Amino acid sequence: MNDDELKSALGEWKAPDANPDLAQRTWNEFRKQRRFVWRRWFGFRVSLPAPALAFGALAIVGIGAFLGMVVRPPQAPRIVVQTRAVTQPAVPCPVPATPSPPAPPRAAALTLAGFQPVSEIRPQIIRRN
Amino acid sequence: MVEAPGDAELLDRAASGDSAAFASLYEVYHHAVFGFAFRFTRSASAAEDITQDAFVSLLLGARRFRPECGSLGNWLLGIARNIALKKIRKLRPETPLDSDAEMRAEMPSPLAELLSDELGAAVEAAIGSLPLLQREALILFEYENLSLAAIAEITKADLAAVKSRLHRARERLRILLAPLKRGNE
Repeated sequence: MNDDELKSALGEWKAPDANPDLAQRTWNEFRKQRRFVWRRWFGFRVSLPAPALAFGALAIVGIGAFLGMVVRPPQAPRIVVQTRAVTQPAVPCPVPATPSPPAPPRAAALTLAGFQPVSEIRPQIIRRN
Repeated sequence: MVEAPGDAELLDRAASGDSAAFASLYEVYHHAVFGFAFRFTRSASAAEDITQDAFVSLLLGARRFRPECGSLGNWLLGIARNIALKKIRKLRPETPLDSDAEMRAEMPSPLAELLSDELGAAVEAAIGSLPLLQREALILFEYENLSLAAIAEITKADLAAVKSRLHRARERLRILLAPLKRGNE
């Protein structure tokens, strides 16, 4: 059987016409399905082998734990107290021009002579983020 | 299959709910889709289901169609082909995809077909006995008059594979239909 004879034989098999109402049925089906397309998202099913599901869950937990250790959440501002030593020269007290009334006798002489000024402590509060 | 101008636009409009645009597309392509589905499944009711499902899938997935990647007709036939394959494999899981060895067990008796004196029925039975991949290649080439490249595009196969399937299908049909020739002489 050559090509022409084969082609001729194949031509003997005719396909029938489609049902005339197929177009309308198709259009109606499309409109029906289009209306409920969003439902397909909620009804979407995925089948997974149990080991794969368990592995996936473990991987998610592991990744979450790792990220929790590496990435820390922003912390509240800390209050840091710093002390700073400030040295100031001692200023001698002015001597009154007028003679002061005689002081009452003291049991022991207590003067500021030889007093060495000490460093002042000034607390400062600095906010840091 | 002749490509009508503006198919992409018609498809967009139809997918948006324009029934006139759908009617235009259906008019152009339903013969090819139904004919292919009928010859592939050998059942008019199955072919109608496949045609309906193919058009509905086309419209619902209209955004996936890229005119630069191929014609709408080939795209639609590809959808119909996938639906038909799924349907056949579901109904008859034992149907071989592309194996001549498995096919021999199902080969109909050409003599029996000749006795029925229905040439069309004999051809139908012979084509129906082909493995699915050979059958689709033969139907698309001989009945839908598609090029080998178009068949490769539709079936997502290599050109060489399509050629091979078509060659084996024709060789098998020559053997099966040879008694028809002798009977006519």
